[in-house]
Amino acid sequence: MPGLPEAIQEALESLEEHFLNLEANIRGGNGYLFFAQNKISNANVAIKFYAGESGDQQHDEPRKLAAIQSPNVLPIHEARNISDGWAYFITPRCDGGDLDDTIQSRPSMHEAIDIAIGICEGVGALHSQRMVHRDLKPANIVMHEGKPRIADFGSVRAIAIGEEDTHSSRHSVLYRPPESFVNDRYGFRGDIYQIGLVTYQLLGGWFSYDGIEYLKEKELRDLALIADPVDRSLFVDSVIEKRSRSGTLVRLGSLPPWAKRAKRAIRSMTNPNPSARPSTVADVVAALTKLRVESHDWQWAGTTARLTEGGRTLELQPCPGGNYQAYQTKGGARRRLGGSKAAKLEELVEEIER
Amino acid sequence: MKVLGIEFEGSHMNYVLLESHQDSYVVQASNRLSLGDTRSRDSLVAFQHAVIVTLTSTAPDKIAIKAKPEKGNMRAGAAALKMEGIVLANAPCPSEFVSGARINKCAAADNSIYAYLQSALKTAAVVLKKEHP
Repeated sequence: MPGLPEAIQEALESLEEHFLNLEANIRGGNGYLFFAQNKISNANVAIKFYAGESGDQQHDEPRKLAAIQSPNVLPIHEARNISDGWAYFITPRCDGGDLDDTIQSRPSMHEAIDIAIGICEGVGALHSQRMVHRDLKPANIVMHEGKPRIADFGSVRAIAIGEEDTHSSRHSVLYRPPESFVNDRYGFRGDIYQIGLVTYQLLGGWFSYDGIEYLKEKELRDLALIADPVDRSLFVDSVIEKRSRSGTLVRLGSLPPWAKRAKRAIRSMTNPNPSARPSTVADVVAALTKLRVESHDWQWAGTTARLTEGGRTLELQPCPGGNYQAYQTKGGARRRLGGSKAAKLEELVEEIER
Repeated sequence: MKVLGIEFEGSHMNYVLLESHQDSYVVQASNRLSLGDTRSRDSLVAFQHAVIVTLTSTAPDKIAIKAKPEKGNMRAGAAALKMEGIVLANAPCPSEFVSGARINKCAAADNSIYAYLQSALKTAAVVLKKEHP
């Protein structure tokens, strides 16, 4: 791999004695990530090389990962120093990619809630050790056998006993809790804000990683007048900050109609005022279990909305005019749902749920 | 000492975390978890994960559960018994069942929490008083 630091190239040559199929992963943001297979156990692993100044904090990430025992936190198999500036650690390779892949596959309502509860379990394990993650986003959560595992601990910080918060992280402006823009501080409720954003994405809410898509017409005109790429990027970030602080980054109206009961929980978790958010992840899962009970397990299948329940499958298929038509499959027979006319998606969902 | 009082009511698990404070107590956390379909594995697993988060977050020294009969006309429903099993299987600390009669004798109350949580609060208060008379 061109451009790889010499220390890592030497370490990879040495690792080839024990691992097969070393393959670079270009999606990782911090350091260098490789996938490989152990020659003896055949286990598929991920090898992460990370940089850091020699000193007490150089190995914070693997140490913090190793200290947390939770099925929703990626376990560490091994960690080694390879030079003054570089080290690596080995974790299992997760078969389901990261949470962005899951979001793209459009999980069902219940699957989305279950994943959010799993994320809360991992974050709860962190919070119980008075640690905050500070960078919870889909790219930092991997999926293994359908369960989420928090993977990137580069931003984790401890909050001292008696303190409420620590310095905020400069990662991912889109996921930064609004209060961190104001006071540069980050507390437990910052993680809850990020869980709220991720849950909103899992439920099908609109959320773009392209900052320009958050700009309104006037802001786009202003952006067009800026030539310097750094200034353009700073301008886009300032708009995202504005949306975040005003609570308009999340567009609850973009959630599918069957997720309307989730609006209250999402609004609460992503409230710009941290004291209006749930105070603990336990309160978040209480809201999520309530939501799970109250919601039907709808799912998108292409452009069709589908619900399988009580031995029958209901499908809402798009038809001309922007409306949908309801069909039912029961006992192998498919027919138009009795009495239903083509109508807007939200009207049909409401009628069926009633 | 922290005691997590639990009452299973229908398909809900009501809980209140009490922490002893001198000769009294302070409500540290309270809420309710809900269980949907009692015969769906996914639903039970989701509830189990929610219980684990709650137990990790509240970190009780003891769990106090309002006892419900398993037999007879007043027996607990399927949801309550399944939720109770999940809590006991995941408890990180000792647990104790408290009879309805003992709970009814307890005068503890707290207006800052919902009415439906008062029974869980009394359940915790009974055990806290026993541990810290």
